[in-house]
Amino acid sequence: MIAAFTAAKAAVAVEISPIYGLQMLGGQSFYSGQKGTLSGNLNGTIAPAMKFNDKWSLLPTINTAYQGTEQVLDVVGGQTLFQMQWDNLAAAKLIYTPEGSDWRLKPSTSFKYELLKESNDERLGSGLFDYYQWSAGFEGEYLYRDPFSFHAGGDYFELHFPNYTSLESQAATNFGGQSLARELVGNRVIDTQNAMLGLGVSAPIQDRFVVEGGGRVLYQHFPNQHLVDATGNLTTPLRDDVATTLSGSLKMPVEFNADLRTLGALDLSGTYNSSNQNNFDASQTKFIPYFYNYGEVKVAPSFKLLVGSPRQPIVLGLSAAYWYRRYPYRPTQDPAGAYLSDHIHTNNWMTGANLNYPMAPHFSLVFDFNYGRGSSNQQFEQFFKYNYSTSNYWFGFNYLY
Amino acid sequence: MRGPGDRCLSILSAVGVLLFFGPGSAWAGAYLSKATGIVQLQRSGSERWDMVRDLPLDLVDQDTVRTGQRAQATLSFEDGSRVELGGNATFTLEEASRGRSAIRLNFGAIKAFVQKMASRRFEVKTPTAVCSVRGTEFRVEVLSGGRTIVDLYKGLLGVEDRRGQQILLHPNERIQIDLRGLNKPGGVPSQGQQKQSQFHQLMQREMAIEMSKADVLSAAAREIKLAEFQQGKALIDVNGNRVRLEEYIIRPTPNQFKLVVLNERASRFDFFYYLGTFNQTLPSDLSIALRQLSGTVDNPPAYFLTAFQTARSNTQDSIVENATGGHPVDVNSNGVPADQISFLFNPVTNAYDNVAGHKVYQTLFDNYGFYVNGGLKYGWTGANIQSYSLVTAASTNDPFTGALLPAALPTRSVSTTFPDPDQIHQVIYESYSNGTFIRWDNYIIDDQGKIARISDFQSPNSGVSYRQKILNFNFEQSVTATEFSGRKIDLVVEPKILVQAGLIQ
Repeated sequence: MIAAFTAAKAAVAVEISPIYGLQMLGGQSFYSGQKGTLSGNLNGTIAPAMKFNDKWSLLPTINTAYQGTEQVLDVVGGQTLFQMQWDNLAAAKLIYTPEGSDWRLKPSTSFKYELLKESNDERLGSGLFDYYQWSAGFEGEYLYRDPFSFHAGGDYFELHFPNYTSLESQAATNFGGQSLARELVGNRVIDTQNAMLGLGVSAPIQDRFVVEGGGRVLYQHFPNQHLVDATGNLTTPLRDDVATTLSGSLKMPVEFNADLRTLGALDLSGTYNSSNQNNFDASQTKFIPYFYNYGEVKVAPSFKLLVGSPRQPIVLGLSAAYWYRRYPYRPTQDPAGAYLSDHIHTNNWMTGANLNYPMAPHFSLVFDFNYGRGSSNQQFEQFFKYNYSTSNYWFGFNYLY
Repeated sequence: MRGPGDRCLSILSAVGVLLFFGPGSAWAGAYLSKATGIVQLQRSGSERWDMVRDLPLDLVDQDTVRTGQRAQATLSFEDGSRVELGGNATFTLEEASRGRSAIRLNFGAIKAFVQKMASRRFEVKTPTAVCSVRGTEFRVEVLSGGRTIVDLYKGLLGVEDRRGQQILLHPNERIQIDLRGLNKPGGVPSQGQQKQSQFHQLMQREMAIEMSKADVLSAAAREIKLAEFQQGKALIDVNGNRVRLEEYIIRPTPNQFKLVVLNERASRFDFFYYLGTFNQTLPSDLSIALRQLSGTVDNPPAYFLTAFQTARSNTQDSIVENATGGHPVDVNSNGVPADQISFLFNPVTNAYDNVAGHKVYQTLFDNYGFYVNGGLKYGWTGANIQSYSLVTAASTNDPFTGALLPAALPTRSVSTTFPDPDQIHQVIYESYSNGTFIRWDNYIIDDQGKIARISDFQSPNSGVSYRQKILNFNFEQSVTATEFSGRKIDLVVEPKILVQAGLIQ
């Protein structure tokens, strides 16, 4: 395929069709009664799509996103409102359409670097949870009735947290003849090697509904994280997780007249993560097997009202989401940390409203508001807030060509 | 035939395209002359769809034809006119008679090549448009919601919307019609322009898929981070700075355990460990032994410490405590009123039990030494002591080795203050007669790194309620000493182990 691509590329001139996107927003976050400072979000994308011939196309994409306002869906439970995040993504996807075929074959690769400053003393680039990720994947898509299709694919990707090494591995020296670290301790314990397989299908139902469904299996291998046993010691086997996700959505577009359309949608998904890793709570001397196992279900209805020209309508969007997660092996704790008999579950709600108001071709004003709540039967919140409320708003503009 | 400027057309139907054929033309019956891919036919009055296999296939009025993805079909008329149907399209032949031919295009695109016949009409109906044709070549496409695009290549084409507004298209003109009516006509995009537009849309879709996949991959990193926060491995200290915290257990020998607490900040690394040596081999479930550390009621403990060592260090400076000769003593029966215990911490319930009037066994150590940067600051010796009031304070000799000290130990005095009357910030200042000092700054901080307020506690300084409340907070201890030359040891720990081991009184 590569040889054919090279030959084809050499034979014809390249047509370039650039895609641009830019979004600039200002806003503020609120977290359980605290108010964050006014800050801004910026998201820019450029993708000079290249067409070599009717069979071969290439889509290079560069995206950069600066976020000074925390999102409602971020990991808010363990943090303050202070946050600065800068994502950078470079990706390339080759698209091969065999002549006379309804198939599209799409090998792809990407590299992402996320910089995250979460505290006063972290600088952009030295954040504890900065990470970079590279991936290589392949997808086949069968357009049985354009734009409806069946697709299946796989990706391999690696996650590296360059600023995160376990403290225990740093403490592997002796103090006064006393070893401070366990044998087998790893350094980059949260780095992962991952393989993901997925498939999906979209289809119309009676020309009134569109249904989409899919499944995904994510295997994660932690090459530096040894399993903890019931005595708190590390053992030779390494941690492996498998997360299986099934999802589906039903969309119902309705056109009342040329100036008024609606799009209702209902998204459903379920995930179960299975891990062989245990946990030993040293402060409570409590062993918890399969600590990372969890099951989650999510339901997310949304509604859009589109008013005006179909090419650039005014869009009012309303969305909501509820997701429930249960950790079947993690016992709850009382406020002081004593373990109880129940197991931890969390409930999360999110509602949002947004308005997209077109001002010029490809250019629109954006107003967005989101509110989220989290609750749980876990009462021990010294480290992580399971019960909280958060909200944010922002406004700005969006440009997409 | 009317001239190009004539925009008053004779429209027979509110939704149709009309073709005028000459009076002497032949019968205009219609038939499918070509079909590639999935092409299906629904006969008039039937609900069944049949694959089109044998060609040519005559059609009668109200027959409906649909095509699958990438399929094509050609509808031909005996006068030589023809209509090409693209993929994913549906049309109904409304009428094919000598005087009139009409098709209804429900969805998809057609391209029509109509012979110039003056006295016959040809109609193509869409949900939103009416066009009139006089010997021409044109393309009609119906999009979702009934929006219609009409491109005219040759001849003239009359178009009428649902409101009765009319327009006559000229060659190479395009018009879009929606439920609001006719839009302004424009030029027909060239084939190259159309292809480029399609390619642009395709790439926009692919980019959306790519960004969506990037979100899925990012979710893997988010989950890892979530688990780190849930386990308390990342905190914010009193200054709003990042503190990393790891706590784990090591078992150096069968009768020992070591709790290690590691802290890291941007510019420093501090650690604390507690090494306990028990009177016998420890069980697999360490909590069985550790829950007896704070003392037992009525009966002597099965597991008790015979020795312990604690160390605090910033990797350069250190504070070390050593104790040996541990043995259980009923402190409520040792005859020393000051040793009496009324409330005892229960590690199982994380609460304080009223034990007044009960035997309470606690472990007392015969030998103890407190060292700063390796130098003994104070200590004691004893033999099977029944009360700490009975020990002999170290003065000129090391309490463990008996070695002669370089100089006699200075005397020590301790003061405790709370500098801010509204905050749980305890300062313990140990001053020594040789001019040296050790200062302990103890903070009770919440999970946001804020110092707890006095009002959070019923009894701010010490006692049962103080220690009970402490368990709901984090404990930050900053230690400095003359020997540290301005440096400090700064640790954040979960307080339970300190309360359990009696390190927080």
